[in-house]
Amino acid sequence: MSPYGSDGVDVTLIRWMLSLTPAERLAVLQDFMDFIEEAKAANATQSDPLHPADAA
Amino acid sequence: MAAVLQGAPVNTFDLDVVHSTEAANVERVLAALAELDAVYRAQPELRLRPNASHLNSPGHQLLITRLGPLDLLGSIGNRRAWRDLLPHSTELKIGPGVAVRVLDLETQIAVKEEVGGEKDLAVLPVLRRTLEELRNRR
Repeated sequence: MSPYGSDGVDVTLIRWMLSLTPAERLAVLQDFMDFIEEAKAANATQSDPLHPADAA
Repeated sequence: MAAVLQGAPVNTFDLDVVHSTEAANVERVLAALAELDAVYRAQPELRLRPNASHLNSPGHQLLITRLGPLDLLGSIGNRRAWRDLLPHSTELKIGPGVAVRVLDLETQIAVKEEVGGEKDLAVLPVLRRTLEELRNRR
């Protein structure tokens, strides 16, 4: 059975979010933001190409 | 942020606040903005700061603070101001002794339908489905 509704929305993700408290939902968002910041910082200092083929 | 707190799996990078334009509140908001070092983010290098007349208007003040982007909205959708939205809001506890008042999902959906911008329309299916799930649980 597909987890997606007819509108393409992942209902399992919504049910998981609804199982959390508001404070826990905020923490999920904060963790995501922290990850984005860490990835941006890592890419800024990354000297090796992400894809070896790009180096050619 | 209000959608996330109510269980919608969406991401957001700024905080939207519809504020009361009562004089005492505008004063409080201006003090908070000063503490946050808020300036208009369109041209942050000019260090332009909002004043009371800006906050009294129904317009949108798009700011950048030392903690990130912050949008102060005098009204949203079809000129819905703080007083109009208050009955459609609910308070959620997000930490020990910390509660925030957020717009309910029904009204968020209505406002986004009124605005009808691409960014607003894109998130509507997730909000509608989250509301449906919430109603099924009640």
